[in-house]
Amino acid sequence: MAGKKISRREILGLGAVAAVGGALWHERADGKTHGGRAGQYQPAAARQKTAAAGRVYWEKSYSGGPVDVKPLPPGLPEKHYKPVVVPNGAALPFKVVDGVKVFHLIAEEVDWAFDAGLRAKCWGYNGRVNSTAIEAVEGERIRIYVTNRLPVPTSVHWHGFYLPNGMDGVGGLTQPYIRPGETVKYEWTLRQHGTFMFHSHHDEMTQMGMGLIGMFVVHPRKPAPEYHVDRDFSLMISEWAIKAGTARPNTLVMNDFNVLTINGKAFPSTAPLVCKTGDKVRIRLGNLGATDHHPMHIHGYHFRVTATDGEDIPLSAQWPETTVLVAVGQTRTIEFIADAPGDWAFHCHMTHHVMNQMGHDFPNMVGIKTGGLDEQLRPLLPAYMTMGHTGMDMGRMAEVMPYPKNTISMKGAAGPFGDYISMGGLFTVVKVRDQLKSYDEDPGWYKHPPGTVALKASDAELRRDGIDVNERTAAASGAERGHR
Amino acid sequence: MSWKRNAGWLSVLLIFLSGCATVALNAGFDEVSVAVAERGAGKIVWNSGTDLDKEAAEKVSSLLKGGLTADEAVQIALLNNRDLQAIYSDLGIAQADLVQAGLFQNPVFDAAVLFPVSGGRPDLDLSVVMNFLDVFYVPLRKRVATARFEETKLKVAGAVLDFARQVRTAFYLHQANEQMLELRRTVVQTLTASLELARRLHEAGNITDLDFARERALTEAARLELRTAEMAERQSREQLNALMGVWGKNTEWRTGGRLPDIPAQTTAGDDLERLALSRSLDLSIARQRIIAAGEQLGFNRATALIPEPTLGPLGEREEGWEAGPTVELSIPLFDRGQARIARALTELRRARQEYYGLAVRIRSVARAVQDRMSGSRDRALYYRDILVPLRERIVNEAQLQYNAMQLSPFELLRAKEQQIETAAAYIEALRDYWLARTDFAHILNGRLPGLDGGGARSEEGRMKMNGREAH
Repeated sequence: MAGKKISRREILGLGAVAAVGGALWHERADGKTHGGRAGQYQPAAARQKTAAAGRVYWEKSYSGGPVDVKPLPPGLPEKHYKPVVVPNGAALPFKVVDGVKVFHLIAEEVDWAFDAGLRAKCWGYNGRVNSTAIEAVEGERIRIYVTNRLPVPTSVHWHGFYLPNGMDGVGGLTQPYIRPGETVKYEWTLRQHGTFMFHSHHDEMTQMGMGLIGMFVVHPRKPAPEYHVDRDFSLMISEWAIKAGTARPNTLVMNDFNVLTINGKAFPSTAPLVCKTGDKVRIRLGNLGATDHHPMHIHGYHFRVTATDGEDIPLSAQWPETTVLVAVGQTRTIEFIADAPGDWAFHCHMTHHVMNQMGHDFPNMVGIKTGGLDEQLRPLLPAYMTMGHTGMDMGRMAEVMPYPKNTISMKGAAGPFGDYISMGGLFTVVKVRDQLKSYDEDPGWYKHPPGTVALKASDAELRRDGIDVNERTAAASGAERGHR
Repeated sequence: MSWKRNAGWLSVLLIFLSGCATVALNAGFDEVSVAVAERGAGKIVWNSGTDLDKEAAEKVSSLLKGGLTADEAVQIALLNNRDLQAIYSDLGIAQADLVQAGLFQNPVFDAAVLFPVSGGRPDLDLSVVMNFLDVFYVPLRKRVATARFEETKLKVAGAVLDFARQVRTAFYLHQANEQMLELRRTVVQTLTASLELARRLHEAGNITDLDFARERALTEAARLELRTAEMAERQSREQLNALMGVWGKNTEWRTGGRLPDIPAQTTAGDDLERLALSRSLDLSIARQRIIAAGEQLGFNRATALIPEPTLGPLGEREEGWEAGPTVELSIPLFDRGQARIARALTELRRARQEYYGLAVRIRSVARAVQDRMSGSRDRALYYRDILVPLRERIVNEAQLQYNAMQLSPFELLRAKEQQIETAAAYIEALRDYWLARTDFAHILNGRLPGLDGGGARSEEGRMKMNGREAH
């Protein structure tokens, strides 16, 4: 490339050209970048049809093209799109004024319940924490008033959006702060669809840590048939440091987060994702936690990652997965056909992320001999009980032991078999049922067909299959040899 | 003047003068006893081989059987301490001095036999002379001795009160030491449990040798402190044994419970200095010294220029018996008594200055002791009402945090240990209060407790409490 300067964009383009072998750049008449008025907005899907060989590989523009397209009429729920389901949350209401969809977002302090027994003073939007979603339709013009009822200045960044620079919401860089008591107007025309987010972009560590984050779902203007799903869930993931016995998130914490939430709720308070057998299910995942990435894993199914907050992933590029990593600041959309009835776990695979209010200063008690310890300690501390020596295998301890105020068990929820579900935090259940009264109602525990539950093996079974439960394992005999 | 008449007059005079001059062994003791009882120090008995002695011994042994209070310990010591009994003898000595002062000087019988060189019957020269001015001096001497006797009574009463204070102070110190020992045992118990937990963790391979060694160091240090506390308890017990005059089986007494709680405020208020002055035995003693010095001065003045004449009948046989009075006079030519007067005058002046100096000191000590009492009261109350409950609350909250597995069991045990250390600091504050209160009562009983602050206040507990960090 000596002698001729080639831009990064061209290199990418060359790469793409090389990859498809002779595919052409998609040129459009109105393809001038960020210039003058460029006519009515044309959805990408329509644009694709005009592309050579029916495929678009790389757009000339990576910012949606001209800003001042003529907006399309506002799309309405049920009529133009099927609204997303926000478990434990709600979509922000809107009204249409002169062809513009108008929202009013209010940043304020919220006394938020993360789980029964754990509340904290957080900051949220419109009375909710992490669980206020904005929903709109590609091509429409939106106007979002943001009122600041916080004691501090704020701003809102529209994460993943093509928009005029001055609407980007970086406090101090692209706009003045929204000072306490002020209301600021954001307005632009949506030139994309997908799963996006919004969050404070002023003193992020504090304000996002206090809960100023949300999902922003934009439905396509002319959805392809495959866009249709029966269940479309929106899950926002975040993490918090709420020391046992306190009632305000500590945003100074960088690593030892102890409350992990989906739409602001920690398991067992996360609402189940209720589906009917055979439903096509979409789950939109967003992560605006402070530092942790979350490998979200589904049981019993595989799924396809169909979109990022960049764009839809072409069918040919989607690959099957059972775990999708949702890094900080990313959205990932997964889809699958829920054809297997049951109660299927869906959770972050980081084991510390399925715990609630872990204490990180507890000694490693696993495997110690406990005989006589309690007896020695009780004269001094009558309530003393040795803990942790069998690991964290406990139920809802907060229900049987006196706990600090406003503190929840590290994990555990009542389950269908009398044993506790030893999970917390980033854990929810996809409940798939043949029959459903309503999607809005928890159908209870799955009733397994006979013979399909792992239960204690009977002696007859053991005999039949020649299983000697007292047989020495190789490891045990090896260990014994090692001792000699 | 006939011999016969003279002799008759003289014998009447001698009988008269010697008639009242006997020494009472218990003289003054009753007054001392009343003075001591009035000041709430307890009952005293002067062992004198009477039934009273037996009664006292029975009282002592019955008191020793129960759990002792401070008052009882004082009572036992008052009845049973032999050194105190020895002090009572001062009363007898002073009383003897008083009797002595009232006695006339014995007449001097003078006899001379002269043998004439030329031979013949020896000359006999017989005389009985006595200092006839004793008739006037005896009352003067008695006044001096009476003043001294009064002084002695006051001094003995003061000594009894001082002794009672000493016993009471020793008792409170011992009681505090007992409680401190109890607390030290609990600390060791706590840290032993902590060490045991660490041992299990170490055994399971869950903690390092370093952490285990650290845990052990804490426990061993606490065990050493327990040894120190045991020693202190034995030492203070021994001191009380000596003060109460007990030995052998009688040393098996025990205290009746813990240091009393802080009672309602006792305020002498603005009246304190006046009360302290008006009740001061020390001042009374100083006053008696002034009186004695004054009497001595009067005596010295009276006798300064007056020669010490002696007067007596003289009989002489030279040729036949001759009789007549004899008079001897010293001529105040060189010693006109000026030195003795000056000395007495200076003594009087000194006594006066001492009196005023003492009064100022009493005022100051009274204020200081009152301040010490109210200050130590505030401290003890602060521990009792604020810090001790706070430490208890911390243990409870730590237990909750432990339940939620937010806090390690070591931290929980450390919280417990700090609670005990705070209790120890409270005991020290309470002890200091009772020592101050003892001194306060002492000054209102008319004795100066000194500015040493009673028992030495230990900074040890507080330092430990602040210095030991949970690890």
